[in-house]
Amino acid sequence: MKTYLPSGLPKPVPQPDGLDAPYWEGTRRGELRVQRCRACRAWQWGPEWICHACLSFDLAWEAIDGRGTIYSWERVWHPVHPALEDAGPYLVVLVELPHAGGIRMIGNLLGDPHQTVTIGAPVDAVFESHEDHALVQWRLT
Amino acid sequence: MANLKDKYCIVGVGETEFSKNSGRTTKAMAVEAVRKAILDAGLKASDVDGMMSYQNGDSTFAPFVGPDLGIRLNFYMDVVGGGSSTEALIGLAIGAIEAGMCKTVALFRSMNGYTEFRIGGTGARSAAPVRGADLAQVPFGMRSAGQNFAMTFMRHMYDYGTTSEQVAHVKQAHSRHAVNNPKAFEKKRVTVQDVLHSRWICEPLHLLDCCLETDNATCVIVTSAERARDLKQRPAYIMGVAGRVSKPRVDYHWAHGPISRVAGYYAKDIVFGQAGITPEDVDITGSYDAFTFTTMLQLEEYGFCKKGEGGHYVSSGIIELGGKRPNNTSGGHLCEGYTHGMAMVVENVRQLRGTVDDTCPGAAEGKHTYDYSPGKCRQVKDPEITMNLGWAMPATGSALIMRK
Ligand SMILES: [Zn+2]
Repeated sequence: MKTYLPSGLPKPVPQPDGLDAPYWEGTRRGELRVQRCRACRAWQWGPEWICHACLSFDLAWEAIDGRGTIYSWERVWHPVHPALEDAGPYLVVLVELPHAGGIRMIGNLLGDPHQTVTIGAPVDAVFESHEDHALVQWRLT
Repeated sequence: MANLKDKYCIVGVGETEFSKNSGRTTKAMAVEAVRKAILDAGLKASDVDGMMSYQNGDSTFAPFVGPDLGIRLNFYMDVVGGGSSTEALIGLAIGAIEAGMCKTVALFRSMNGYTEFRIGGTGARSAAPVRGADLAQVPFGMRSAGQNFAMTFMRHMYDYGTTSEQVAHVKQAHSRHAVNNPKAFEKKRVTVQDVLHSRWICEPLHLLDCCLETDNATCVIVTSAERARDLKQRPAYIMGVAGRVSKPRVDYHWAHGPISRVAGYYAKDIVFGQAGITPEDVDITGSYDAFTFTTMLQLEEYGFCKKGEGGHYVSSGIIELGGKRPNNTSGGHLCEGYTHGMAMVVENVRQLRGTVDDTCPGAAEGKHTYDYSPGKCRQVKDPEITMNLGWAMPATGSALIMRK
């Protein structure tokens, strides 16, 4: 399967306590889910046992619209992992999700790694399949 | 520590060579740095009864170093941490002495930062499984310090119009300082254009925007002002300290609020409040230069200029020797060598004594030429107050104000 970064990076290991399981299950089905507090309705990312906003422990997982905007970005040239030795440059973006309270996520920006990247540009979530998990990547809308 | 202002001092400093091939253990280097600091202070080994260090699973421990030096410890503590540790541990040492647990504390950091444990996910660290907060960034190739911080600088450029050229002045200034520092690892003048033409590491960071990983150990010794009076050196009095001050989030630091806001924003009121001074009163800064832009970001958050004007501040000549408020007169981590912050405190102690180790013939007696041309002086004329701005990451920092 075609992935943005080459294989050989350490495998993501979901938390043993199951906290982030709904996120990983969702991505495998092409659904982007994040936590939302049942008490105060605040959105949050990453996954926690407690709501950052009101300290309630009553959190739900909700599927969200995978549309966002680029808040910041970087283009990595120098590899710091052996698996990435010939992978550069590659683009990492910080995406803000206005439909989920402005939470932000990290991902790769698909397409030409040399492209001009613009802060504020709209992007869509893309689900990149791996052997037993999927990563949420981004492409320009 | 408002009521402890001026009651504690740094009385001794020491370091090993800065190299990329120490060929020694972190224990051997720590022993050398602590021994040099004890001799510098004019203390006997038995006068030191407290020892602290910080590390990231990459170094020796205080209780193994003390006994080699003939020191029986009444107090020791080794903590996990990086660039926000020196100032924080100085504050903790004061607390330990104040609590009556010990009388004089040696703090060290010893690391083979080039030959054993480099920054980022290289070596054995690269194979570790990705868990917890790392899941949200490491699978996308974002794991080293540069990769972790670069987005903060990119957004600052977008919000405030800051440029690569402006922050390259930090490297240019520090390189000029390092040329006058015989122990600096890189004694070579570097220009703004050299920085801009160096290869990308992680855009917007060029190779020469990044600090120099080196092998070294460094040490400072803290004791009470009362004991300091009988010692060999002019004490550097501690006016204020802030330790490991954090943003609302430390993990997922990029997920909340304006990301070009860094921990110094929260630390400044603590440290200036204790010292009872303002940025205008500071003669020398030691703003942590993990990267050129970290120096810039902290100077603006601590109020040396307005938020967003850091690019102008660092490119205006202010931070260079001969300027209004030089920064990292040793050459800092960009040129002297990467020490996780302690060498920047060591340098400011020497500046306050008036005895920095440049090539002026009377440097050891405090006689300087104040000629800052290449290979000459790097002593600031009669500095009264110095400030260190420690940086671990955008979300965590520490600060220290000292006077002579
Ligand atoms: Zn809530």
